[in-house]
Amino acid sequence: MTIRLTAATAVWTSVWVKKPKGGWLAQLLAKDPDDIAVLGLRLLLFIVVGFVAARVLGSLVGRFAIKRGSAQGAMLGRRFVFYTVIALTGVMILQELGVELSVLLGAAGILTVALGFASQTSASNLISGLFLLGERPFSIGDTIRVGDTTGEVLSVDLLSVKLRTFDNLFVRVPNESLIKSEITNLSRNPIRRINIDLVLSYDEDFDRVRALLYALAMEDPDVLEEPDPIIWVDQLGSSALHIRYLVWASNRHDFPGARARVQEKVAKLFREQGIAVGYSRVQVATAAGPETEAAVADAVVGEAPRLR
Amino acid sequence: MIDDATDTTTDDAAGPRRDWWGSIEIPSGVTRYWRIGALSLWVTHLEREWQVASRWSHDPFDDTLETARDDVERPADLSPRRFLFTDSSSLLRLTPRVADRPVVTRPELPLIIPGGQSATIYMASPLWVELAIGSRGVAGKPDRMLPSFDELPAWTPSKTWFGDNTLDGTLCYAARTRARVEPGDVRGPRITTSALVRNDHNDALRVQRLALPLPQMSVYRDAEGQLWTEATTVGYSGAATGPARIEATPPPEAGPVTLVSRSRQDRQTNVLARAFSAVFSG
Repeated sequence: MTIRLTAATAVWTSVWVKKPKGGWLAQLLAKDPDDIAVLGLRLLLFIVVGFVAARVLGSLVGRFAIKRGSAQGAMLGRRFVFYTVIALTGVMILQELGVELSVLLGAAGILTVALGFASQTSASNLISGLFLLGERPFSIGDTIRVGDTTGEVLSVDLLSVKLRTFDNLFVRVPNESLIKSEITNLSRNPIRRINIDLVLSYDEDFDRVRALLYALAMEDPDVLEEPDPIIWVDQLGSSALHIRYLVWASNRHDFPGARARVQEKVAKLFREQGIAVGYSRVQVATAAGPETEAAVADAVVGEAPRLR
Repeated sequence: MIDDATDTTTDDAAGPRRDWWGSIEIPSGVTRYWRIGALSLWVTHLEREWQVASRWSHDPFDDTLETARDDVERPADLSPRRFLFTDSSSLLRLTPRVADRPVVTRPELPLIIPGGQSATIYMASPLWVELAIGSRGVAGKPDRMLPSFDELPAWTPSKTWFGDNTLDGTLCYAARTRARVEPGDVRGPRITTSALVRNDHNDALRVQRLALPLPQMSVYRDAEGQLWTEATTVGYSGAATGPARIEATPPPEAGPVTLVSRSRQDRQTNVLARAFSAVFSG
């Protein structure tokens, strides 16, 4: 394409410009300008036109893609078009400078082996990126957790994924490690469960606590009435009853806030209702004799402490 | 003092209740107080500025209605929201609106509709109060209102999930009151919707819950001053969920009605109306 374009320019120049050394325009359009300034101007023109064309075409493709698909696809399409046009411009400039492209390509063939070894990681990231784009485990704007990092996806690129953590740090995660590791998408599903683990004293009336917790779930505007809240005994601990209180909330409007509010309300409820929470108890026995032992046991165990 | 909210009708229905909605002139520097169920609302007009303060009681069944009182001071601890305008207009309009999400209600007792039978179920849904300002129309013309600047729920209902599983479904509001089989007297600021459930199937139908696309319905006022939406019809033909059809008018039980506010969503463009309505179980 490039060669044909240059040839066309040459033909046009030869037809239209009778004398190559006539005017400045003729100089500019001549096949082999003899003035270095003219050459420089031509190169500059190439760069400017190429850059503008890349931007315009890229944004056109991006706009088209955003109508048809996702923000991620649009970004990818825009970048692809942009870099392709820039690369073509580069080739044209090299040709203008008289560099033999075939020689360059031959050299590149030899270089490829060396480059292949050198850019192993990049290539791996690139291929991982393509797989990631095909699989789409997340898209831009989702909140994901990778390893210890939790953040909002800013961009999905060919080599890496950029995240913004909740304390506003910018994290770049290489695609290769994303492919290998477990990714949790926190914002894909519209509702999410709040898991609260409670510890109750064995002295407490569990039916009463269950009724209170159920009423709390029904009245709280953050908690969904359906799916039904779950309140069950998870474990009969050695010194306390382990309860799981599982309620559902919307994952679209401030889920962490809702979770915090519900936990706060549970704490308040326990305090207001005087619900005995469980503590780990240690019974200490001494060999001093039955009387002392009983006294020590009383002192250590006592009654289950109440939050009041 | 209070007009009917609709521009085209005169307030001919001298019902036993005075409507809390409608337009009212509030001179600059004056505060008015409304009590609409659980919602206490103070609206203050200042020069090119309106201040709105609100507070909710803890009783969802609160049915107190007080209209445009000028003897209730705004509590000092309640900070208002300030809305600034280019021009000063002294006409305030309150409009009752439907909920901004579908509303799910459960019958008070399990309702079973035998094959080939139909029944009408009534549900009461919470309403939202929309505030807009404007100026009086001259020479019998309708009032010129600016787009609404604030909207407050009379009670914030808790949310619920309506769907086959936890992945596909819609976030809805849960109605506080149970669905009934008689129209009854819906007290307080609530909107009644009727649903005619038709069992076209041979098997008996057990109505577990009813989800109605409230955002696609309009609000009407009957002669008594009660609020209604259009009637809906739900057909059951064996599937777990059935689409709801929204009729053009409220049910005949409502009597003569006047339109108070239009629906939030366009009925044709939204697929929800067709895709979901009621969950049944055999």
